[in-house]
Amino acid sequence: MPAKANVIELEQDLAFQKREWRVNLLTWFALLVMMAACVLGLFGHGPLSSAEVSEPSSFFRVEYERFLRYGSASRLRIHARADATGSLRLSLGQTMVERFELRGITPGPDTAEAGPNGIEYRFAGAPGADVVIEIDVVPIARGSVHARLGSADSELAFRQFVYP
Amino acid sequence: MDTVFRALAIYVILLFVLRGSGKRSLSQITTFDFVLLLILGEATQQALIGDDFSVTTGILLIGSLVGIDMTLAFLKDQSALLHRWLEGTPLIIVDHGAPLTDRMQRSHVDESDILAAARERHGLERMDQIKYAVLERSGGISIIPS
Repeated sequence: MPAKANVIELEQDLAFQKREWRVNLLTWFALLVMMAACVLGLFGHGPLSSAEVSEPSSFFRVEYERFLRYGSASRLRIHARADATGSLRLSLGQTMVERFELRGITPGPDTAEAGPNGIEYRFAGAPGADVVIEIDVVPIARGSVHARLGSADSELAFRQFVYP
Repeated sequence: MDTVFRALAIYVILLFVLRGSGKRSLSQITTFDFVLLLILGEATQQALIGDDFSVTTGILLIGSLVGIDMTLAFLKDQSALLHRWLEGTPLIIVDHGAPLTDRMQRSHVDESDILAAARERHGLERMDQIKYAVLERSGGISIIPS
């Protein structure tokens, strides 16, 4: 029961008030930790979030963000090499097609073909040239995403997490 | 479905952050507190509606927020403990003209705040004219003159 002060009728409770002050301190600490985590990129857009996956045997490499936010745009930067005919194939796994809205691809592909395992894009370039392709995506589903990107015979798999 | 969960998430987060930050944080005492409140409102709005500007979403959001608030009010009536945690308790910070400095420090109140409240509401000039100053649940300071 809250102790009533002697003269003034007041629902003052010092024991509770001390607990509340402790909670205030904890909240302050938690907010500082959250801010630090945000700066470091635990919620996306920072050093902890930037990641890269590559195939040691090829020139196929993807720069991506580990942590994304629902509805907030993110960019995949793909490094690949065109084949001897100057053609470059890039396939996006079905999970990516389902869980991301594709906002744009730079440079634009020559063709896009939908298949049971996702979308395959074809780009034309100089034979054997190293090409950088940027894909802007917006997550439209929350939670963990197992993304797959393929080029020629190689495939890269990586995991991203989409915050609500 | 999404709208209700958004409303619930934002309501709960705001409740935790604002209650957790103490009585004085957003009691609109200073100009900056007021500005902070406006910015919070703006940030909250974006998270609540996203890019859906339909009237239906607006109606659902208003209904959800008021519904959550009414449910919480009901639960507070049922549980004194919950009521205390959600609303806080008042605290005496000046007792017969003597400032209780430890309580004031921990509540982020200084003597000038108390004297300002005493001047504004009762035209008092000095601390010894104050019988009690109470830091209310709302974060405001009420003065009982001696």
